Amino acid sequence: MTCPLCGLEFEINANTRCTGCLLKKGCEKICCPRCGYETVVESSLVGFAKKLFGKRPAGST
Amino acid sequence: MALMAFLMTKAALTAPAGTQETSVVLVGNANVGKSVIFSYLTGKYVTVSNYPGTTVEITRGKARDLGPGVEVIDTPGVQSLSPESEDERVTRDVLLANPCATVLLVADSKNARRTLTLLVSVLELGRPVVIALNMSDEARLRGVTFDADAFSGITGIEAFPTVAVEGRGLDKVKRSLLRARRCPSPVLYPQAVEYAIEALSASLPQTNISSRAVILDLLTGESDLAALLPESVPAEFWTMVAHYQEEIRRACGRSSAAVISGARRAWVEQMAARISHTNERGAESWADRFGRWSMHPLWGLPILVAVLLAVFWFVGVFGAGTAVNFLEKTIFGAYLNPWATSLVNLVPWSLFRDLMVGPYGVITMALTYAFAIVLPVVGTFFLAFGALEDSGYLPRLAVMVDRLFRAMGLNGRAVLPMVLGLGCDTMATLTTRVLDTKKERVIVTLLLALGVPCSAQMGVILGMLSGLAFSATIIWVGVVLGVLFAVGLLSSKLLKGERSDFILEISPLRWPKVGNIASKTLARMEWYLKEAAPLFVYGTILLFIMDRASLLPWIEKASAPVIKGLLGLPREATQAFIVGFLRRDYGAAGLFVLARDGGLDAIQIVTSLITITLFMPCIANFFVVIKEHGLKAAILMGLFIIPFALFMGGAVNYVLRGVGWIG
Repeated sequence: MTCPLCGLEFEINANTRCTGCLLKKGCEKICCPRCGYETVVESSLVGFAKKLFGKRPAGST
Repeated sequence: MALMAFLMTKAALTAPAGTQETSVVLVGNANVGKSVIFSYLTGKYVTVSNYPGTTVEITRGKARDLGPGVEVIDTPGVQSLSPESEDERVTRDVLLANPCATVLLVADSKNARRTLTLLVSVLELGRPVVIALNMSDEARLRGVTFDADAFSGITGIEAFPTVAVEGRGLDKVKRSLLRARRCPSPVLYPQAVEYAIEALSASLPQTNISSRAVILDLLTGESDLAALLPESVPAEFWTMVAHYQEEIRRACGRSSAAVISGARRAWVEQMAARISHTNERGAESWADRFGRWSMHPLWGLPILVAVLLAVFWFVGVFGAGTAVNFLEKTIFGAYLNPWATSLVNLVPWSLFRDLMVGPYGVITMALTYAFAIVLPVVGTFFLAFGALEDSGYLPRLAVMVDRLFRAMGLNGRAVLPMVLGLGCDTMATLTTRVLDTKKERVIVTLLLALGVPCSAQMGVILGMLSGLAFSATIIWVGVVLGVLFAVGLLSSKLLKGERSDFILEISPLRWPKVGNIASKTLARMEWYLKEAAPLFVYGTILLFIMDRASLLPWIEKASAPVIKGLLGLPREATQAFIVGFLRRDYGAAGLFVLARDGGLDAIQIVTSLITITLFMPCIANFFVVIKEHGLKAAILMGLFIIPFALFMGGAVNYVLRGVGWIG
């Protein structure tokens, strides 16, 4: 994903998960490894809807 | 592990032709959309792993529609293939280890020079190349054209304009990958270099990488390829390399490395001039102009104020007004709460009934606050924030805030955690680790806890302020900024050290995409409910227990000199401060309900909001302060922040009453 603040392109992995607080198990936020800007991963509702309706990347065949 | 990577690369270089797997390797500068194209080519199932011996991640997946067994490999973003960084070394090694690979060069259409510089490195390796000229829509908006047909005509390499996020042009790229062929390097080197290549080629054993590429690399004298060559290279070959390096220096008057890089740069400049043009009229679009103004020290401020007013109006009027009214009065008030009450009344135990639907009930208080009051307010705030994020305004806002904070006397490095604190103070407290000294870290943590409201709290505060005269907002902003300014000035006296700027890529402004905003808002609301709703329930249970144990009236009575005497608030406001320690937005929601029911006048609203803003952010923040700075520092901070917040609230109360402000 691309950080909306500093523009760094990075992969989501264990190191980019926010593990700051005691709520870390429930917190789905991602922290940019360069600037620390936090953002969210795709909602599970959106993921479920895509799975349900079989949405594929735009332009795919 | 590094040895393993070395051996893998070396084995692949010397393996007999035809034994390697066919693959497509995505190569490109950072932030050009490689990952999107990778997803398009592979579908869903991919493997992410570190390249052996490095921390650099390589993503692999099986290609769809490119034939059986074709692997697609995504590499890190690089400027060139000269291994000056770990990312560049890994990308080059991936190409060396996959001699049968076709390279898909993903390019930024707006920047022909950067694309051509990387292309030269790839062509020297002798790999078939296809180019995806990505972000062609942004290039067009900025008046930049990259003549793909002319480029293909000159070089024989197929290039296609694409907009990867919308899937445009990717079908052509995929079809082209099936027919891609090797093209010779188009760079013309001085005669001395060409002569050296020809002479050295005869002594170099055959490998899976073009001998021209190997020799050019060796002639630069900066290469680490020598270690990858087979042991059968005769010793006199290295003597010849040194000899020809000297010959080139004599003939061209510069080092061989400078001659080779100069020839490549000349080709890049010449080709860029032929195929890429900037339309002067379209060079600066409205988005460019507006983007530039939004960072300007003078013009940026009215834009910032306009943006904040738009957010204020949207969250305050629509979120805190229309949406809260509908959810609280209609959905919860008319349907859910009466249904829940009649259902819970079937249970014979009065304690359980009170816990669920009483004055401090989980349903009637915690869930109603979480879903009917706070969720619509923060939901509209997240919506507005998502639009700002997707438009590309945030990096510009960061530049503006950087300037403001510098003027306030804060050390430059403190700016980043302060900006991030507007999202989540807890996470921002962690980023104070980037500061050099313990003293710096403690002071910035204190500033964060003291005066930077997180996004959820900001939403509820804006919602409450929107019901008052605009002067109330100015007072709130003025007091909070004033506190930051004062503490910032103090910190600038105490803290020494050089400014260390952080690098931001300022992408062009664009119209936010509805789909992106909706997706991010949903994700944030889902996150918010997962994090906040349980704490709302715990806070309500705490109030319920205090009420049952007759502690609540006792605490209200004990705190009356502060709450009633100093802050001028009704005693019911005490509960907001108790639950406010669990989450400030829960406390603010309590004040919101109190104000809406007529329990607070304008001065009381402003006083309570300033007090709760300057309060400790939440229990999670308190725990992370303990984690980062120890229990003693956390307790000391709490002992400073809580009395200071109450003192400031009291001062505002007395001053506003003294001047006769009525809001």
